[in-house]
Amino acid sequence: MSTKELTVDILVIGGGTAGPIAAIKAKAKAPHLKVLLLDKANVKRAGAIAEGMDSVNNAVIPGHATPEQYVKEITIANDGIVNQAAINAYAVRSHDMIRELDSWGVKFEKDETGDYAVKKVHHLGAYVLPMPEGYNVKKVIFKQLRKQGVAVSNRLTTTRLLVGNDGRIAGAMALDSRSGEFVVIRAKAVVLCTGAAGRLGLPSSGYLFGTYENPTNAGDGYSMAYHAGAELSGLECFQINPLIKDYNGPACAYVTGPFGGYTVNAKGERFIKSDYWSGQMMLEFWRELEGGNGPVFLKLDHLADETVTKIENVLHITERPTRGLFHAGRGTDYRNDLVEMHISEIGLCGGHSASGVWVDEHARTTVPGLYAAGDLCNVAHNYMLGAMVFGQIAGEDAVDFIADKELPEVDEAVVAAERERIFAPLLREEGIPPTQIEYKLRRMVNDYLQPPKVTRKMLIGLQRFAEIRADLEHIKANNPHELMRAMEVHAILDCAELAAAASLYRTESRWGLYHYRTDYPERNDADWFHFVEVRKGADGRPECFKRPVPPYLYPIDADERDAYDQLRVDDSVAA
Amino acid sequence: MSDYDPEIAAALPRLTDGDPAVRRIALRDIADYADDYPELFSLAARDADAGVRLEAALALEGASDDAAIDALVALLGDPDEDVIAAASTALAEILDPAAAPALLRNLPRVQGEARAAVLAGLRQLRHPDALAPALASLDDALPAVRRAAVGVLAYLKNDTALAALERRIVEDADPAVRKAAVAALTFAPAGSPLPSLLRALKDSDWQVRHEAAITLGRVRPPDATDSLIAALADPSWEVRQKAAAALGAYRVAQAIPALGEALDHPISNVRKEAASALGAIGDAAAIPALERAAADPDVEVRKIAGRALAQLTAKT
Amino acid sequence: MPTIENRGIASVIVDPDKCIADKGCRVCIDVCPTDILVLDPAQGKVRMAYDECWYCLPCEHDCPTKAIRVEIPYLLR
Repeated sequence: MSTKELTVDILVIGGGTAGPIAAIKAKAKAPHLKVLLLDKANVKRAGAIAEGMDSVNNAVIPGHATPEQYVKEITIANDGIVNQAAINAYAVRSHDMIRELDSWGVKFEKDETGDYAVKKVHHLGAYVLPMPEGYNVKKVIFKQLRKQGVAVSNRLTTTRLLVGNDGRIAGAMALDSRSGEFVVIRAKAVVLCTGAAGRLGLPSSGYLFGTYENPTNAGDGYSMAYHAGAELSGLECFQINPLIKDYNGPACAYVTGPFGGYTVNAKGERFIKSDYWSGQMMLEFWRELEGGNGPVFLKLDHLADETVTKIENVLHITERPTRGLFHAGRGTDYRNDLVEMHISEIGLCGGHSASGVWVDEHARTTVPGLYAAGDLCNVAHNYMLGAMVFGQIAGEDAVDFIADKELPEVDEAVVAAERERIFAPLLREEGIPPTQIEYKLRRMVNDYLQPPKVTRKMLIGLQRFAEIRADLEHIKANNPHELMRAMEVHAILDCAELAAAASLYRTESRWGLYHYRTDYPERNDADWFHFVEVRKGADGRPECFKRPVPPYLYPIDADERDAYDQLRVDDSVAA
Repeated sequence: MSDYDPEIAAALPRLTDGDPAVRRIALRDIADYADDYPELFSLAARDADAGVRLEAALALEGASDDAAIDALVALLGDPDEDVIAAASTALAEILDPAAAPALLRNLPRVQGEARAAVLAGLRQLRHPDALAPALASLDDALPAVRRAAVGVLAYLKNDTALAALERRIVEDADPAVRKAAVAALTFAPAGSPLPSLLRALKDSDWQVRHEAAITLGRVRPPDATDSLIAALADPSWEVRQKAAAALGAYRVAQAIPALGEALDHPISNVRKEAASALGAIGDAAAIPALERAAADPDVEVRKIAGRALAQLTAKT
Repeated sequence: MPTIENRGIASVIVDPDKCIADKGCRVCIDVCPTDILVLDPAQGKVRMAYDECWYCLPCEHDCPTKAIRVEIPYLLR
């Protein structure tokens, strides 16, 4: 339980998708700076794309889509609650990022002549760029990290950010989950890239680590940003995804769609009207599952044998390669059998929906010197490529931010208190195992927060969460690995409480299933055309407030919105 | 020795250990340095142990150093299949155009699958000197070599190769080569007459016909619409689907009756594409067919038909 | 607060005859995102120590001697 102190210029937390790009770009812009990239796992295989990525869902490539088209489409898909400047910041850099990744060796699908093979899956623009050989993404990026001379530190679980006496970010504190060492990192800027809150709901299998998201992404970043005083946004806009039932991984419609595969109900009919991956689509999915037309299936049995083989060579090799093993275990062959689908447990993830740490178009949070990028930040529908672009924006902006700045002074008592908090579960003689508390907490999340959201249920949920918080005084870890899990349970609990608080605050329904409240079944633009923000109040409890939607760069006219509204569920969600 | 990075220096003794497993682990430990010290890996590529050679091939992936390329090409003749596969992948991953001369130098020395692998390595480098050997390789006895040669020519996008590619479409015995050649023609200037594509639309292999319909829709040579209308009755629904899409791109009103019939196909993917093409053609004669499609059991077909009808009625 | 031990089948299966951890290999231990693989000091081979597997496969793919087989965790099969 020794303490190690490190001092760097820019600290990047999270070695998955956004983090490495932030570190690479900061170092490329200012090679003299000390840039440290740390991860709770191993940067080589960390994060959501550890085994690669099978498709880019939001490529904005000239000739196929324009930034204006893309920003409008994302705006409409998110019921208008977006910061268009942030989405545009991604859109205008999307093509350059693809070309740069391409030049590094990341493989995007190309036609026989070497041009990008963009697929039209959505109605307004063509954004899908498949990556049938996308298994090498992490390897390629790691090469660039080495090339730029970025320092990397693995197996460090960050637990709290350090805020300086002047209110600027000052670094972070972490636990080495192998050695049990307490690590204090002083920095002039911090880029948080810790991914989604993927261990919030419990998968229906009951297996704690059988999550849709990489389970390493326990929601640490949301908790850290909150305790550092940053503003979080849209935490009532949950992430719920369609998936292969029980396997709990992506099916994946964006991969099979261009080959002719699609989702059907028990009658064998296509039922999804919504054009874009959104809460609206998930509402249609959920209603089909619950409304007597389920189960829902992925249909590939009408495809030629050669086509199915091609699909298998993508789905069973990239992103979640055990899909093939899972199907084999149940005797499922795409050629003859439909694949049963379901919806995921709830989570928080800016990459798939629109929630997370508030950032502007420069990836700046509301704490000076603290940046957020990737699934953790609230830039809607950012996916993998958006994570990388926001990593770039954050890394480059951080270089400018720290120019001529000294390290902020910090209160040593804060460091001592965090050290005590981290090690308490290890020093305790006996107590409750972290896995047991986590199981109960996540089951309560399912029982009380899963949409449709009911006011009374969420209030009960908050009571249960408070009881579990008291139980955390008795959590017992036997070694540094279990201690990491114990600290993750603290973060999951913070996420659960913040998600409940934000959900209760927004007294309307919006984003289809993501925020479908039975007590307030209608969308209410008059009162709620705002972001719902949450931050730590003066009393140490979550404090919710409204933030206005910034004026649009690209106004949406009525018939564009109508064209989209025609795709909505016929009857009101109240029916 | 003193030039080496400390991490490499520490691994050096293990690289010559008597135990091949130890040599292998040492090589993997320093694999990230392959670009900086390719000589260590080129040497390991000649190790007596197949596991060590495999590790060397994996580490040299994408390496553009002359000696590394020679070592990888040598591994294409390895007795171990995994080593050959890794060496082929390593060559195909080369991104640095400066590696082209080394690959071109090796090309005449290799035959068979190894020749295909070297050609595959040349493809994305787009070196003009690859044109002649790729054209010559189009007549190779091995289909894999002809396939790789088509790839090189397609990436070069040099019009002088069009005639040779068209000949592959008509004459090649291997369907994978014919299909690749059809796809390669996408770089032909829009509106080029490409008679081989009409032959390809009647190929015995459905994947070749499928690719032909796609390429026709992209290049749009003159006088292809009758053949595409005939392809709406292809035995493979995938071909019908792409033929419908191509006819939408041509915007020919004479396709409307046949596209209307395609709206009755049992596979909804065909109905979707037919409805979409009827909308793209933009002729009021399609309105009755589209009105029928607007009541299709499939929601996507209904959506597309509805949108097309809205556009057509707004126009009239 | 007395506690009990729970039992479960391992989803990451290591073939000790192929595993070369005793010669210094740590590839699978290093790449596991959830850090559930450990070196068994007595045997000198790798084993799964925590029931926290995401069945993601880097351990199996990166193993130089193909000593690892990942199965889908029983609760999901």
